[in-house]
Amino acid sequence: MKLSAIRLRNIRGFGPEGLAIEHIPDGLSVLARPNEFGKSTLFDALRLVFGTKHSAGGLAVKALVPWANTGTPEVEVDIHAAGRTFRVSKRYLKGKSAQVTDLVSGDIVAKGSDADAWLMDASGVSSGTGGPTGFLWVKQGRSMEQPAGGEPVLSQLLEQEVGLLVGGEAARSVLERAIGERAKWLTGKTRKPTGRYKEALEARAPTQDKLSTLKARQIKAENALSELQTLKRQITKQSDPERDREFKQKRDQAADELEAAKQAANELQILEQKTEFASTNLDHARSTEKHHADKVKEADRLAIAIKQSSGHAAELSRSHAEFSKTLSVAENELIEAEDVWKTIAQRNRARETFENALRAHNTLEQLENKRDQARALDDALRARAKAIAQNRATETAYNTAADCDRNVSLAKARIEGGRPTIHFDLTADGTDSVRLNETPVRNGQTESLSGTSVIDLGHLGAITISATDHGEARDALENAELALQNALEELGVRDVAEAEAKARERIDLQRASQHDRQRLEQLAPDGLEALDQEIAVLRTQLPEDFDPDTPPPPPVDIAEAEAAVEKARATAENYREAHADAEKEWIKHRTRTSMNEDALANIDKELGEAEARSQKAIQLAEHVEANWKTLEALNTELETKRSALPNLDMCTENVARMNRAFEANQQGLQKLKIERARLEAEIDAAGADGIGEALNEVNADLARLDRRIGRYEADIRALDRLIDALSDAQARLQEAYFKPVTDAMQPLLREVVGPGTVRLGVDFQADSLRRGDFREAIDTLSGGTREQISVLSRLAFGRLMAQRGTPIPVILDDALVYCDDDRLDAMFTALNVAAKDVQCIVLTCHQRAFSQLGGEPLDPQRWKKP
Amino acid sequence: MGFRFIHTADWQLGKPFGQFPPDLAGELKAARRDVVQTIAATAEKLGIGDVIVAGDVWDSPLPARNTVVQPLEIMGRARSIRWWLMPGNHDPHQPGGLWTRIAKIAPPNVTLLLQPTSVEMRDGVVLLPAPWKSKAPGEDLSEWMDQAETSAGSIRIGLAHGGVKSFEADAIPLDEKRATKARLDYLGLGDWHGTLQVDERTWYSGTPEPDRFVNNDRGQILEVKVDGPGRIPEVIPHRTAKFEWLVVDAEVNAPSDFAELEKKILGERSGTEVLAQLTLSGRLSLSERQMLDEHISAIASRLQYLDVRDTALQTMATPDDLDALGQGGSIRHAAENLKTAAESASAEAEREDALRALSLLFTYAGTATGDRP
Repeated sequence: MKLSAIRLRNIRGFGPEGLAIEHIPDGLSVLARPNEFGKSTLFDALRLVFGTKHSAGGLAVKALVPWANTGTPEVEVDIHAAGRTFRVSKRYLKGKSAQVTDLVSGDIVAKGSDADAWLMDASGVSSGTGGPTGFLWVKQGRSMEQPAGGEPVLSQLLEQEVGLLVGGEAARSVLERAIGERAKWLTGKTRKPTGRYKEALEARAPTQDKLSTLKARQIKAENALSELQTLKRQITKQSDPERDREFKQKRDQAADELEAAKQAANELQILEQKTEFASTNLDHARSTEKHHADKVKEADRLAIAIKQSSGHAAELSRSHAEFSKTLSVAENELIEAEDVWKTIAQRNRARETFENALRAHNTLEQLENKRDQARALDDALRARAKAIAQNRATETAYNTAADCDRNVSLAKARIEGGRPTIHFDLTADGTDSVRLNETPVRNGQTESLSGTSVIDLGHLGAITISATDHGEARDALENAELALQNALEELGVRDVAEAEAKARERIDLQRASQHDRQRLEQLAPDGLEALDQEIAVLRTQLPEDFDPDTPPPPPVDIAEAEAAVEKARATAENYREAHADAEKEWIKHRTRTSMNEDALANIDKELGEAEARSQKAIQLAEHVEANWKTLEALNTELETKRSALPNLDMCTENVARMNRAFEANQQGLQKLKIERARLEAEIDAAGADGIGEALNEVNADLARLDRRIGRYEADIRALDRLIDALSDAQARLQEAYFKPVTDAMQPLLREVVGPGTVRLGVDFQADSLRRGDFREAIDTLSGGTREQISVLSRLAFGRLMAQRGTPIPVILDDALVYCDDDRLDAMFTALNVAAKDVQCIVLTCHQRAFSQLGGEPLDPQRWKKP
Repeated sequence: MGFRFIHTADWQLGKPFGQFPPDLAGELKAARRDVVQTIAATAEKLGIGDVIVAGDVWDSPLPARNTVVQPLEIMGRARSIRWWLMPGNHDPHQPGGLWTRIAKIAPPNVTLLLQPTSVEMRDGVVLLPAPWKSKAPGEDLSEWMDQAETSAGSIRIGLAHGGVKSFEADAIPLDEKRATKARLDYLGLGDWHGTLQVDERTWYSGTPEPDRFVNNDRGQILEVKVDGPGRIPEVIPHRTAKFEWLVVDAEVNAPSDFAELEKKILGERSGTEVLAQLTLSGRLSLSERQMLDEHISAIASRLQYLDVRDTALQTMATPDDLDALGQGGSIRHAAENLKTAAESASAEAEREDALRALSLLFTYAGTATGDRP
């Protein structure tokens, strides 16, 4: 299809007069007009007539109506297709219509919706996608975008080229279907389960849990049933009456045996008591016999001891008397030595007392001297303090007065300095005749003037000089003088010199006071009062009659007297101890002898005479013999009974065991019955819940889920295989698939960007440019290069379509705006090359730049409708 | 003196049918309950007053409450019938278990046969049951019948559950001469779900409502007529099943075989009460397989359920199949790759995945082009 004319009216800026471009050439043509001409309106009108049914009334159509609403939007195109020329006329909105007319025969080929369909069929345009026009026609401002929207048409075109009857679009459709089917079970990128597959997987865990729970409950119930049977058997066994009777009989027999054993044990106990008594009696008899024999022996021993001690007593008495005499002599010698020592010690203490008093006396004198000096200093300090208090010439006050005095002097100097000075250099004549304030002046005289001064020049007249009034300086002087006066009054002086003398006097007083205070602190660190107290204390320590001039007693050596006393004391002590030992031995001997005599007297009294003693010994021996025989008889009987006694502990334990067993049996039976009730309740509960049936159902659910999951996973595996196989096949075919396009593009590309290859993606958009060894993604290229590749792609597609017999014009609306001058020239060349195969219509506002394009200029006119 | 009764077994009430869609599983489960009503109606129609059930009345020893109560209510309502229920291996009697529960709620016309002792059904008719008390008794429970004493001239009817042949190493089978050894006039057996005559006096009744795809006679009860002691019983099967479980094997090698499938599966039947298992064998091309799938889909839509087993059916892409996908292009390339993968796969799973992918490609390509490849 090629365009040979386009006409439009009542579209945007074009009113009823409309616009018509006739005689559009088959090759390259250009419509170069300034902005606001309406080139984009022309472009949109073309898209409207090719891509929109005449009956459409959407916003896109309404947006084309002029503001003034001058009439029905109308577009007419003349096209060459299939070797014939047709006119397609479409009117939109109010008065909508469509018609296709064969311009050769004048026949109306189609009307209404048939006319829409005819045009779409002729151009390959489908409603919605725009068909090839969608990517071959570049709208203003979109020139950098890669071609899009024509994939179905191009697919078909290219598939035919590479001989694919089924492939391209069909393969995409199959691949999409497979991916879509897989997406029902798995998410796209992360391949996470989704949809029913996910539901089945998620349902499995709780079902498995439920199954486990039910299995556990079933096992529990089965165990309970088994336990219940065992329990029932146990209960039956333990409740057997014959068993109970036998048991009670055994228990009664054990009780009887226990009773008999207890009786025998009592009898044995009595016999044991008797035997023990007999044994005690025998012991007692033997003890009595032994006591008698011991007493006899003791009496004999005492008699011998008393006889031996009488001679030793006399010897001890003599020794004691001798020790008493020696001791008395030693004690007298000690008393004499002590008397000598006491006399010497008294004399030494008197000398020590005198020396102490003399030291106190000397100290007292020193302290009193210090106190007198301190008092004098204290008085002087008080007098100076009074003088300082009366002297107001402090350093600050004096400085203030001195400052004021300097201020007065300064103010005066300023006034003085401001007065005019006149110097007289007079001639001889002038010396007599010139007068200052009526006072004659002499040559060389200099005068400082104040107020008004008159210089009388004699016959020459007079000069009156008025000195400048220094009011401000005067005020300063007055203020300074007033301040000085106040300062002097404050100090109580008449002038600054006197103030200075007074200030110096005050400083001297302060220095003297400070010196005296330091001295006083040395003499009386704790104050005068403390010094007085110290003197008073020392005075009390002196004896009233102390005379320092009296000579002290001479010293005497006391060591010899002390040694004599120690020696006498040791001698006396030795004799005293020897005497005490002799006395103790003598008393001890006497006491022992006395005790032996008493003991012998007592034994004799108990045993009586010698004959009586022998008879009693015989009696006691006979008594022992009788008791021994009794005990022997009892022991024999005891042994006999002991060997015949039943084991009482065994009998007792036997009865207790029987009782415990009976009790345990009863308790056990009770427990079994309770356990039976519990198990029955548990089984009832399991039965009521239908655990077994529920378990079967959940088992079946789980199996069903697993089958479902297995089916989904088999689907996923098969779809994965299919998708992989298709993707792989597509990738391998892609190069061959796009070869016609890249071949068509290659010469144009070389013309513009130099040697290189553009790779096309599955969406038919250029995705990279390979130059030499480098491949650059389209997005990383400059705007100009992208635009050039975009336009070249369209030209290549357009050429290919034209070569395959389905030509569609390429229309560029204000494209190539990013090209530099060289590239623009190259693009012009590429356009001219492409235009040999495909109709190219260029709309531009760059009239000067595009004057080099070389295409045939289009000449828009008003649409004069016949 | 003659005696007529119904012999049935293996009701397995409460059995789940998890391999089926939930709705159908519910219907199948309900059918097992409803067959009790059908049995009652059949007995009443035949004027029979006794129904003996040879074990596996319930599918589980711990069935749900309604699974227990509802059939008992149905039995209770059939007042003219006395129901004799015996535990089997699925529902063994254990003290405190299922049968203890049933004993508490069973209607008066239901007798539970829980002990191996003779029970007088009617004057001169003695029933000798061999109830199960555990899932693995480890003995022939019918052995006691040999020594069971009954009044002279009584009709002796034995009732037992289990196989006459053991399929498990530790299971003890029933003695298939038991009827003779125990002087039984009739031995009613349960456990085998199809109707089976063991000898002239010994029968398996089979389940009254089938529950699996097995090609044997099932879905019926037996009317048993014993004219007197020592007489050979007369046994007449009566159909009770609601659903028919068909097992169909078919070899398909060409589309001309497809029509036969429909005849085999449906015949003159109403498909709504038919469940079928179709096992296919043979060899088809991809396009033929697609046609077969559509054919089977059409049949399946008329049935309650159709289980197709096609592991023995070889589906291979023929040159014509591939040509139908075009002479070149990515679809053809992908198809050839998948075909090669299927043919060279060492693992069965891998081969199946590749074949399934190829089949999907064939289906999608047909949809994509709008034509059958």
